[in-house]
Amino acid sequence: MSAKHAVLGWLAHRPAYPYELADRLQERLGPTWAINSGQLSQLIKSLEREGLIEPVAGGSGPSRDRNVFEITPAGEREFERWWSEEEPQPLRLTRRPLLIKLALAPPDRLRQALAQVEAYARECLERINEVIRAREQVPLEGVQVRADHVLLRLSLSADVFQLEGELRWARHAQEAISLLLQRDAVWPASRASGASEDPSQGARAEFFGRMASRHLSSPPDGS
Amino acid sequence: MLELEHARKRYESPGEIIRAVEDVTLTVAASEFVAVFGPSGSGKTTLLHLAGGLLRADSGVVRFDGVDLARFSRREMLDHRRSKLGLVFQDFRLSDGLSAEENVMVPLLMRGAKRRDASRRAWSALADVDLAHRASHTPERLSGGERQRVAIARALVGEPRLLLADEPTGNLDSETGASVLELMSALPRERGAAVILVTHDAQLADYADRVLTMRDGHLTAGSAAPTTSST
Amino acid sequence: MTVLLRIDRVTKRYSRPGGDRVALDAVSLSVERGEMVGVFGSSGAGKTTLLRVAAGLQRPDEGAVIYDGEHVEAMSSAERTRFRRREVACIWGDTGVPDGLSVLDYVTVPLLVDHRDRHVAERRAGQALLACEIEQCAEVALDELSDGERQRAAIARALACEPRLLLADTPASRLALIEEERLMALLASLARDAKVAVLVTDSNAEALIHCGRVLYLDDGKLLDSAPTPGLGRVYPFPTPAVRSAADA
Repeated sequence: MSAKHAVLGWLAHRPAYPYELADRLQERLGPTWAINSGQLSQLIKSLEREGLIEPVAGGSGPSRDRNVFEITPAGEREFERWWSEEEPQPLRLTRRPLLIKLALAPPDRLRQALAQVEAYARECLERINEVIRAREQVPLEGVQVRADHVLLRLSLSADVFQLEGELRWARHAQEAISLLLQRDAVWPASRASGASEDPSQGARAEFFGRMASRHLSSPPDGS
Repeated sequence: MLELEHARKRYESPGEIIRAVEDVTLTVAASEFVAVFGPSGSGKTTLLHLAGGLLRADSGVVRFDGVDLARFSRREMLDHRRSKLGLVFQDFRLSDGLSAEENVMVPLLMRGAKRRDASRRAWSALADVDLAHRASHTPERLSGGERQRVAIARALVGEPRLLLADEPTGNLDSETGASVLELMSALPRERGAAVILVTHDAQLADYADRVLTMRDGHLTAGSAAPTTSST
Repeated sequence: MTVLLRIDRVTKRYSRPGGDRVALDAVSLSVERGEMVGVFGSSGAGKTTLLRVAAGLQRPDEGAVIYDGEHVEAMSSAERTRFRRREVACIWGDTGVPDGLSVLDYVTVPLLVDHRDRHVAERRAGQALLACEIEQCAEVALDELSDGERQRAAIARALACEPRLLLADTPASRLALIEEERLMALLASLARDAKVAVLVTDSNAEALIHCGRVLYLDDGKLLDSAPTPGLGRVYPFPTPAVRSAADA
């Protein structure tokens, strides 16, 4: 899980307050990495339980959030192991719920599907604009190349490209559904009629049965 | 009679978009014989399919007798294909299980003709291509040239307005090919049908009223450089 | 069981410049009613010739093809026509019709040629399309179908004539695995439930998994699929378990 290693990675540089971590990570990686405070304190608790981080000695406050945390040697080893050994997650393609709806719903629900795709496209567009605005806030390189800026832009670009891919797909989906709405399309029989079961099975049994009885009107089948 | 206006057809294949027909404008008059030359992959078969309404153009207009083919419903399009088109292919596409005569009857039966009338007309169409004596033979027992003549009889029996031929001589020796082209150019004209022939063999130009060249999806007038090294 | 088709020591030669080529070399085989027999062999092994001879489309140079006790060669012209139209149906690689024909037309044609009343023909064709799960494409042009759909349309066309013998020449050759499975299961059901004698070829042994019996055609010679001592070549027919393991 990468949020865990993001926290470890940050603490490997220097100790920090838990509430600080959320902001720091977002600063480095962009809005996709926003972690809410509930998730963050769960994460801190479990890291502490595993012995990967600990409160800095002499920390005062009664609440954990008031403590500054630092990474333990075990935590450093875990981060190092993860960095060098763990392979990037295998590519997994999204299984889109909309496609299930399209594949299994009767054609008269196409308009609803189209409305959903349009809403999705709008959402993609809004998100893209958001991320692009965030990216524009990162100062461009001047005389000095700032590694953190370069890497933040890289992280933000990942989000933009992914969202653009989604948007592109949504546009395709709009076109495809519009085509189905405009044209006299051929639909699999069981769906066009709205029938719950496939009529071909019964038809096949009947047709084949008739052939068999015609063919075997002479000697009966021995097997 | 047939008009293509800025017709375009593209195929998407992994990683690229194939521009099969790019912005083609072409008018074919009734009784005109148009030959389109081009190497394989130049888009000439796609052009033929667009002209016949076997494919729909992505953009642009294809009109037949002034009617935009895109307006046809599926059934109208099938009727159009059945009644207005004759098709001839390189590989003949005859049914093995049917005799020559029965193969020629197919388009007529499809249009609702009575079997007896269809049989009579098929026989006479076979006579037009000098194959009446072979009417009861199955394709298996005919030579390549005879098979293509059966296919031509089948294409013409319904008196189509437009005959589309895709490399009709591709599987024939040159002498047999010449006799097939002779038939293809004479018969439709006698009946007022237009012919579009696509081929990579520029030697077939002699038979055409007009010669066009297709290259990378674009159509130009005249038979450009010989395209012998097409593959 | 009744043997419907018997091929008895059939030899077929093609004359070629520089000497004859033997396409079938004293091949014998029989197919019973309700049986699905597979013939496996590489391209050029003689599979198509075997089916053409069985269909009466080609004359054997030696030997005989006996259908339901009758020599196909000895049939009168009327008997032969009946054989061709009503008894045997063939599925070849090519549809044998021009582009633009609708699926319903394609299936109806042989019935109309066979003097059936149009109403009867269209009803029968509709039932055959339904049985092959292709009825939704009745008005779609044949050239707009996927390969799998086109093969199912070809089977519907064959079925509409209610034949007793079905000959299918590498019907699955261009199909994706899932379509191949669907097609072969349909043929198997045709043998089992409609008691049709089915003879099907393929160059891929795995496609013939549904066959009750698989024979191996190699360079015109037909061999039993079972390992035969001394042949030096063992036909690797996978069991269903092997196949599903390979698919997993």
